[in-house]
Amino acid sequence: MSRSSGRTPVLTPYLQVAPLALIMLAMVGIPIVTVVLLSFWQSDGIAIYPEFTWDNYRLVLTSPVTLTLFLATLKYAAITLVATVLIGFTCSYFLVFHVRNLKWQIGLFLLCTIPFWTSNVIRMVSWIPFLGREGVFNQALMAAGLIDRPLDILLYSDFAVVLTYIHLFTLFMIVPVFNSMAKINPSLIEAARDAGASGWQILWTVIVPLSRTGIALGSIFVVTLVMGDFFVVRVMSGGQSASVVSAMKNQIDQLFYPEASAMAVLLIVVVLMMVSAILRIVDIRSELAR
Amino acid sequence: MSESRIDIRGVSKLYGPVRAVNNVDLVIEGGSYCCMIGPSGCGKTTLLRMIAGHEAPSAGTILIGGEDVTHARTGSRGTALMFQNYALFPHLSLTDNVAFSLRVKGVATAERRMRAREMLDRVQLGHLAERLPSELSGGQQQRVALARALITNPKVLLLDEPLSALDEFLRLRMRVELKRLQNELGITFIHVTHTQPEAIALADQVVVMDHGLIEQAASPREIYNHPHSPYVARFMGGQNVLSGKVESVAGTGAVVVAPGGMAWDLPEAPGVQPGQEVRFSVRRDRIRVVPDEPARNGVSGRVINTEYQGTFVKLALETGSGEEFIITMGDEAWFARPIRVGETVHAAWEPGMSHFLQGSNNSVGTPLED
Repeated sequence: MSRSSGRTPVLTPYLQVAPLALIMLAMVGIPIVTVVLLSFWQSDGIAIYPEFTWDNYRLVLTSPVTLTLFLATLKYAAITLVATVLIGFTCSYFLVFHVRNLKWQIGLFLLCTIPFWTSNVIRMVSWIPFLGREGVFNQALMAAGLIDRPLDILLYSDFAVVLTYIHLFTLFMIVPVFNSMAKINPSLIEAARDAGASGWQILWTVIVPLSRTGIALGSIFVVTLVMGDFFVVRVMSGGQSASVVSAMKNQIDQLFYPEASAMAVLLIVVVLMMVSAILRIVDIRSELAR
Repeated sequence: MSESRIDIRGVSKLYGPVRAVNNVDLVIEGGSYCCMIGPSGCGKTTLLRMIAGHEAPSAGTILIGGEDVTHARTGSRGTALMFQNYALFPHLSLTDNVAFSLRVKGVATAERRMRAREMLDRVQLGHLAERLPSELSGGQQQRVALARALITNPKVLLLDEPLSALDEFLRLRMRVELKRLQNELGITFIHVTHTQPEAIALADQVVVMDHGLIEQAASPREIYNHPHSPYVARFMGGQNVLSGKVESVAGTGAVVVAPGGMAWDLPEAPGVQPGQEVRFSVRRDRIRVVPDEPARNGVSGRVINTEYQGTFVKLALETGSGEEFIITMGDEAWFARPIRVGETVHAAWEPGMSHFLQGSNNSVGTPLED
């Protein structure tokens, strides 16, 4: 203490945060500032003029397409969130409370991560031969005599989009939920049982409330990932559906950068509002310190 | 039959090949304070958890108030368990913690909160009713755990090492409070501990366990004055354990001779045969230091340690038996003629003070090393 308070006691903490601060500034700060700046510039589809205008926002906020896009994206996010919470909670519950052996726990946990050893694109594209009109699933159903012509809803549909989201993002739910569940002291469950609680009562009154930090963290991951996606929507809906970012991508392709920027700023605002709503329900900071 | 009497009949618990509890029979009278004591791994906690219903016995039956509860559901057998680390729900306020069992029974919110408040007032924590457990001290958390256990109106309160997480001062205070509470409620308390003074101070009945077996179950006075086996004598403390060969038998008494030739009179040693190896105990505070080597009923040894304890002085002798021989003497007597480490000291006691140890468990009472 006496040594470090020698020459530059005031500067030391700033120097310590400097590397991260610089990286954040370069990788997050500058791009966002650029986007925000760009959203106020003018363009005519050929060139961009650095002159202030509200036109981009006026266009984005008054267009009925914007609302449709946001609603569609929010719908994806909501369905994916519900599904990943259910799957993530169930998997974690199984791993923590039924697989008591630590070796098995770690083994099964790694098993959950195996799909993540390949790239997102491969995992996503691998659904296509499975779900397609001539795909494995349709053929199996037809062979079983359950249907007499292939189901079109399986691929290039909202169903395929959501299914892919769930497949890609469930692990982001499992990890934090598992983490907070594993921290639950087993004697709490015994205490609940001692008080006469049934299995369901223990689940609702003890396990779910004590897992909520993990659920909140996982929800932040899943929501931000879905809200920011365009690739899955584009590939898995076969171009039939659009999300906010896929629309943005179209605008960029057509060189309407300022308009895309305004949309991006709007998306950032919406996502921030969603995240802060989650943080308002669960105080992650204090719960993590617990 | 009292509705809170507990009968344990032939109860065993096996974990694989390990017999954690081995064919135990025990009766705990209704409304009594029972302390189960023993080193770690002796099976006392397992036995407690079987009474609570958190473990199912591999064999045997458990009756509470004459009713077979061996396989009754936890929480419906009239027991409440207070956990060693208290196991308070970290996400619930004190009121909700205490009201938990009422909540799962479906008692209306207003009523259960009112009853929880009353119970918190009873343990003097009413003013903290809306706090979270993490905001409390260890002693306060323990009171909450107690309140949560008692709100179910149990017939039997089970306490798993309730005082071990507290500091010395709080431990003594809570000890008094537990005893007072038990007197007030009149229900059976079963208290697991590994601290001898705790058991002696609290219990109506002390159950000394080792390796899944009950070595002795009796009143504290009986345990202290008439330990059943060398293990009980050593584990409960305050005793010296000596061993020798029986030389002669006269009536129910016997004369025992040490390897070194000293003769000891055992007033009561039924069933021993001449030539048999026997063990007996002598209370440390009944031994006098004498100037000359006694002819009978004494030992001689080199002082290896002296410890001043306030009201008495503890003197440890090396007598060549492999086990320290301890004498406690009044501080005045000691300070009148202090004894230094290294001196040879002669000790003697009245023949009636030698207590024959029937039991064969000769372990030193320390936890198993595996």
